[in-house]
Amino acid sequence: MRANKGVDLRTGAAFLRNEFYNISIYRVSFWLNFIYTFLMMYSVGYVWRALYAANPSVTGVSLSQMISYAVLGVALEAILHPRNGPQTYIMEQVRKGTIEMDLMKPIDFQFYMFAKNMGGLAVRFLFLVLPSLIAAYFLFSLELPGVPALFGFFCSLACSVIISFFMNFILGLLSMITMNIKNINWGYNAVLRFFSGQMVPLWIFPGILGTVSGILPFRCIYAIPMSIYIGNDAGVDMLRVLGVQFVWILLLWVFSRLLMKRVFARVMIQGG
Amino acid sequence: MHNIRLYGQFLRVAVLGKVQYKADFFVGIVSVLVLNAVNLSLIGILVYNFNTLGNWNIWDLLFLYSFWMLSRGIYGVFFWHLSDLEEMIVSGTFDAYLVRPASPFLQFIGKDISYTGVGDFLVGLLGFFLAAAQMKLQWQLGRWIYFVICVLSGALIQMAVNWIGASLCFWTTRSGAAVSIAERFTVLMQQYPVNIFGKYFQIFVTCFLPVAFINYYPSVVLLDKAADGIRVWQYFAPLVSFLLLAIAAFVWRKGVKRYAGTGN
Repeated sequence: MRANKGVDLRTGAAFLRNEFYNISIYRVSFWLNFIYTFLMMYSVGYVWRALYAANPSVTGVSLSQMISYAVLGVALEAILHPRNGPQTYIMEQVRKGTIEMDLMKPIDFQFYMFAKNMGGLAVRFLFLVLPSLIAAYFLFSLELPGVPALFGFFCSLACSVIISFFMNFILGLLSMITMNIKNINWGYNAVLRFFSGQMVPLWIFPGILGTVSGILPFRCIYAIPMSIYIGNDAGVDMLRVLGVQFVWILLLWVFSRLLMKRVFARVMIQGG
Repeated sequence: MHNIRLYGQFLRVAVLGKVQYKADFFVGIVSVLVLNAVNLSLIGILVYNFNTLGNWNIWDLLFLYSFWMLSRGIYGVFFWHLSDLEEMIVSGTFDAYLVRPASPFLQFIGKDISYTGVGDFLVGLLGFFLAAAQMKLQWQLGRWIYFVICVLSGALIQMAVNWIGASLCFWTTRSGAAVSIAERFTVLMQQYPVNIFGKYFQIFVTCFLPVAFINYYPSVVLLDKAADGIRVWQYFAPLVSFLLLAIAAFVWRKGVKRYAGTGN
């Protein structure tokens, strides 16, 4: 029923290339994004400096570690923000009524979305995340971790990207049912901002909020790779949180496959 | 006078259009409340752990945030759709305004109102009274008047900045990316006292992109937060808003003229 793997991979590569061209057209918005990232990295650093000036021992990590954490949170937004997920595209196609064209393509829909998404992501990683990290190293005192932490960080970041894709993909599927992505996106955005640890590290969350944030999958997206990077999760802890990410990938994968089947069955009936 | 009546009529039509979608209204308000709750909780968690930020405690920060929300609410209700200009120019729908016998600006501004601003305003009101009660604020009449004026001028500053941003698309066609980045950046900025960001930054948001006059300087004045006495220019929020508005009107006028000149 599905084409063989070789064709799949080649098709995926084609989508990736295509997306690269698509994004490289908008050079002005790229520069603006870079300026934005730069300003944000500058300001979060100052927020933490002001906080540490009053009370340096609250978080249990040093100021430079904390600034690295915050700066990383800003830089990674370029690839982990839901606005770059496939759900916007899916909703757009649903609204225009052209989603059938995507579903009819002789390639698995989820894989197609993944390849398309990874294309854009690779471009943003190369041209937004990497340069801002280099700038952060020279200007905003981003620390370089040791080899094991750096290796763990990249492994964990790959998991983050996959988890973030699955979540966005699930939102996209839901939008096929509700026919409106704006509010779903919106709510997800808010929850993600709070429970992902992007701005405020989860380990200083008080009581019940801390417990809840540990159960939810959102911390897999920002908090885990960033904690590994600054060495807050090292050694056995690092392996444990990587394990948590793997489990979530598995769960989300199974869930999204099941959901996709059900939603498509519905769309087919509606479409006639 | 005629223009004001016309604007009133436009708004009436916009409101009538909006009340058709009740579910949308409630979802919109709820999402605004959730976003504000998230923002405030994040600051709350930080200050809960650290006790203070600069010399601002949690209630000062709530005051600062609510101040911003009040002015943002007013701005949002009436002017949120300023960012639609780009789409209207690209799709050509803006041209319709140029041929009708009324000011294009009036028609553009009166075409829509946005209820998400109502949510912001309510959050601001609630936060303000909570903070005021906790700080046991006892203001003379003069302070109350200054407070109201500054909330209004804060709304005008946001309106003017966005108006200038939107007008740029008369020249560039696309200005959405720049405006949305300015917006995202302002959102972070307004939640923290500006003085923690260092001297250059403070100069930038005071003189070049004067968003510090939306809520920071009025709060400094009203809460007596200046360490070495309040300077005269820190009272200038209303003045800044008028100046910006004049600049924005000038840019708009130039833009429309240019657009009408080359467009057809």
